[in-house]
Amino acid sequence: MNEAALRSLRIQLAGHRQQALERSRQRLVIGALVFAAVTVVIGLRLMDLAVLKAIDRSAGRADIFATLRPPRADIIDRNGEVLATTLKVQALAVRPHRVIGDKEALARKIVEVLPHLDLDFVRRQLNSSAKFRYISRRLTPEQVSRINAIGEPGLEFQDEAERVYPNGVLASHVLGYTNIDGKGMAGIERSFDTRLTEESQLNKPLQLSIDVRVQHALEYELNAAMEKFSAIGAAGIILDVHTGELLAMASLPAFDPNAVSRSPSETWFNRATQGIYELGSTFKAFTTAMALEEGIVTLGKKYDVSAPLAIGRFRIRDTHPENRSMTVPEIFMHSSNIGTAQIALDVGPETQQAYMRRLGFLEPVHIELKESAQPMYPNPWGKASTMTISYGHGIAVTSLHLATGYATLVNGGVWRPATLMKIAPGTERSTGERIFSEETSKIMRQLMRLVVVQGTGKQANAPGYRIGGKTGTAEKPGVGGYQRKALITTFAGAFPMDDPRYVVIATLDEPKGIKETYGFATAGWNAAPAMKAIVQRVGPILGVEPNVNKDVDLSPLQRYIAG
Amino acid sequence: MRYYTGIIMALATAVSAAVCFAVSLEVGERRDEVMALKRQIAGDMREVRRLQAEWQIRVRPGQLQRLNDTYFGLTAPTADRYFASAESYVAFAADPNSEPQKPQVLPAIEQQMDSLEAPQTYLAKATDGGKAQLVAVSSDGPAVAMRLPSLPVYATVQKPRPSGFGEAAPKVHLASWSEPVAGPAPRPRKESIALAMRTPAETAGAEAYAPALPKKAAPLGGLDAATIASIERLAASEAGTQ
Repeated sequence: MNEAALRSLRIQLAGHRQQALERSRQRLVIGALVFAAVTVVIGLRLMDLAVLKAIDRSAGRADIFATLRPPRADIIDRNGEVLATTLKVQALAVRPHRVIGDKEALARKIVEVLPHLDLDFVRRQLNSSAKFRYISRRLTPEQVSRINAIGEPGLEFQDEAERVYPNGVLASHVLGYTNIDGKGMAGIERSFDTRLTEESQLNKPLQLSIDVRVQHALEYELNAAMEKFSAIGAAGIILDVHTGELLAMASLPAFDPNAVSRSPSETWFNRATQGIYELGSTFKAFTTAMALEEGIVTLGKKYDVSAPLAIGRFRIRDTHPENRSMTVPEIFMHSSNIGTAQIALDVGPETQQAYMRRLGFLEPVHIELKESAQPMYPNPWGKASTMTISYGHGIAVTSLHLATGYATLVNGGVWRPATLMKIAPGTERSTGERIFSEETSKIMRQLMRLVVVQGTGKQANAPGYRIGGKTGTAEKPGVGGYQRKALITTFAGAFPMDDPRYVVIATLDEPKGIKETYGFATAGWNAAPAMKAIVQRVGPILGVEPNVNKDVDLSPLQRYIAG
Repeated sequence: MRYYTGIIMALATAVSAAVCFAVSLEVGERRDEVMALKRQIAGDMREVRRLQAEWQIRVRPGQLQRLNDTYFGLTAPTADRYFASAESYVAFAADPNSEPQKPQVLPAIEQQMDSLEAPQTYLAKATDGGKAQLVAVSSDGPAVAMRLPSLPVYATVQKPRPSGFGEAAPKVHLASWSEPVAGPAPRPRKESIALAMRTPAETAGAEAYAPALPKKAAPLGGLDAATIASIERLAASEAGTQ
C-alpha cells in the first residue's frame, strides 16, 4: 500500500470514529434530558403535594369546628333551657365485599361487643350481596373503640345525628318530633323545618315562648285532675294576655318524642289546637261582652228565666232553674242558658256572627303549628243557632281559640294572635285588633271574678290570686245526638283579675263524678279545682304574687244581684 | 480564591439547607400540635353539648318532681306564706309565735297604687354592748329595736330583698316547706300523684332527708327558732355579708 492510500484510510477511520462519537453524545444528551424531565416532573409533583395540596388540606382541617355545627338547630325555651338538641352518634355499617377476615368469626366478635344484636342478623348483613349494610345505630364511644380494635377494613362507622328531647313527654305536642332522617314530622319541628336546618342558622337555637317550669306545672296538675276524675284526656293552655305568647300548652295523654312509635297513635293528636269541641257555657262570656259592647243590654236589664225556651223542637233549659227574672250579672253568675239565649236574640245573628268572625272563631286558629283544625259552625246561621251558640253549643272550636278569645275579653278588648315564639321583653306590643272597649273589658273582668267568688266557679278560687273565669260543661256529640254521660268540662279564666296577665284554660275530656264531688262531673267540680291547682303552681313562677288583701272591686255589680 | 469561594458557597448552602429543614420540621411539629389541640377542643365542645343534654335530662322537671314527691314534699307557696310588708316580716322574725297581723282588706284596685310610695322599712343590725339585735329602720320614722329571742343575728343594713318575683316587689318570700309526717309505711306512689302536691308525701325515706327540726314545731306551718335562724342566715348571705 502506498502512503496516500493509507492516509485516506486513516481519515476514513477517523471519520467513522467521529460519527460514532457524535451519535453517542446525542444519546447522552437525550438520556440526560429524559432524566432531567423526570426529575422536574417529580419535583413539580412534590411541590404540588407539599405546598399546594397542603394548603388545601390545612384549609380543610381548619374547618374542624364546622363539624361541630349540629345538623339541626336546637330548640330552647324562653329561659334558654334546652327543649330539643342534636347529638352526634355513630352507626356501624359493613361493606361485605371488602371484608377480608373470616365472616363467621367477625360476626361473633361483633355480637360480643354489641350483645343486643342477633347473631343470625349480623351474619346475614355480613354475607349480603349489597354494597353497604347497616349493622347497628347509636353506638356508644366505648363500643366504637372496641369495634375499631377488631381491625376489619370492611366495617365502617357512619356519623349520625340523633335528636334528643331531654324533657321527654313535656311539651311534646308543641315540639313535635323528627323522623330518622332528621325531617320534622310534627309540631315546631315540622313547621320550622327549614329554619332549623338552614346552614347559616344552625348555631342559633330557636327560642320558644314556652316556659318549661310552667309547662311542667300545667301538665302535672292536669294529669292529677285526669287521674282523679278518670278523664280520658285533658288540654291546658297558659297564655300571656298582652302579647299572645303561649307560656304552656298541653295535650294529654302525651307522647314521648324520643320514641314516638312506642306511644299509642291517639296520643299524637294535639287536643289544644286540633281538637274541636263545643265548649259550652264558657261562650256566655262572649255573648255578654258583645251585648254590652253593642249597648244592647245594661247590667240591670232583666230577663225572665222561669220557663224553658222553645226553639223548633228543642227546648233550652237551665240546670238550676229559677222561677224569676234575672239581671245580666245574675245570668252570667248562675250560667243561665235561658237568659243568655235571650240576650243573644237581642244581639241578633248577624252581629253575633260578625263578632265570632272577628274573634277568629270561624277559621283555623292562628298559631305556628300545622296541627290545626277548621272550626265547625252552622250554615245558615239562623235564630236557633244564635241561641245555642250563645251558650257554646252548635259551634265547635279549639281550646286555643277560646284562650285567645278570653285574652281579648280581659286585656282591655284587643285581639292578638297566639304565638309560640318568644317576644323579647321591651318589644312594642303589636297593635292587634280592638274588639271590645276598655269599659266592656273592665265589666267582663268583674263578671268573671264574680263567677269565682259567688257563682259556679267557686272551686277555682285560689286564695290571693284573684282568679276570674267561667265554667263550661258540654255533652259530647255521639251517634244519635248528645251523650249525657260523656262530657267536656272547661274552665276558662285569667288571673290576677284586677290586672290580668295570664289566661288559663283547663279542659277535661269525659271526667267522671266521684264521691268527693257527690257524683257531679260538671266543670265547676273538676275543671275549676284543676284551674285553682294550676294557678297556685304557676303563679309564683310567673311572678304573680298572691295577695289576700287585694281584690277586684265587685261593688258595682252587687246591687244587681238578688240576695 | 475562586476555589475557596466555591467551597464556601457549598458550605453555606448545606448549612442553610440544614437550618431550613430543621425549621420546617419544627413548624410541622407545631402545626401538628395545634391541630391536635383543635381536635381536642372540638371534641371537648362536642362533649360539652352531650353533657348539657345529659344535665337537662337529669334535671328535667318530671324527675325533680318525683324526687320532691318522694323526699321533700315541698309545695308551691300559698298566699299566707308571703309577708304583706317588711314590717310584718320584722314582727314575725322578732316573735315567730305572734299572731300574724290581720289583713286589711283593700277592695279597690286604685288604692293599691299608694302602697308603692309607702315608707320602706329596712332591717339593720345594731350592736348594744356586744349584744347584737335586729332593728327595723323605717325610711320616715324612728328605728324600732327588736331583739330576736336568743338567736344570733346575721341581718345587717339590708333592703328587704325584692322577693324574686316581679319588679321591686316590696315583700319577703320564704321558701315553703311542709313537714313530712313520718309514717311507718310509704304510701303507694299512685296516690301521691292524685294528691297533686297539696299534702306532703308520706314516705319512710323522708326522715333521712328532712331538715332536722325539733319534734314540736312552732305554729305558722312548722317554722321554729332553728328555721328562723337559717332564714336569717339566708337573708344575710343574700345581702352579701357572709
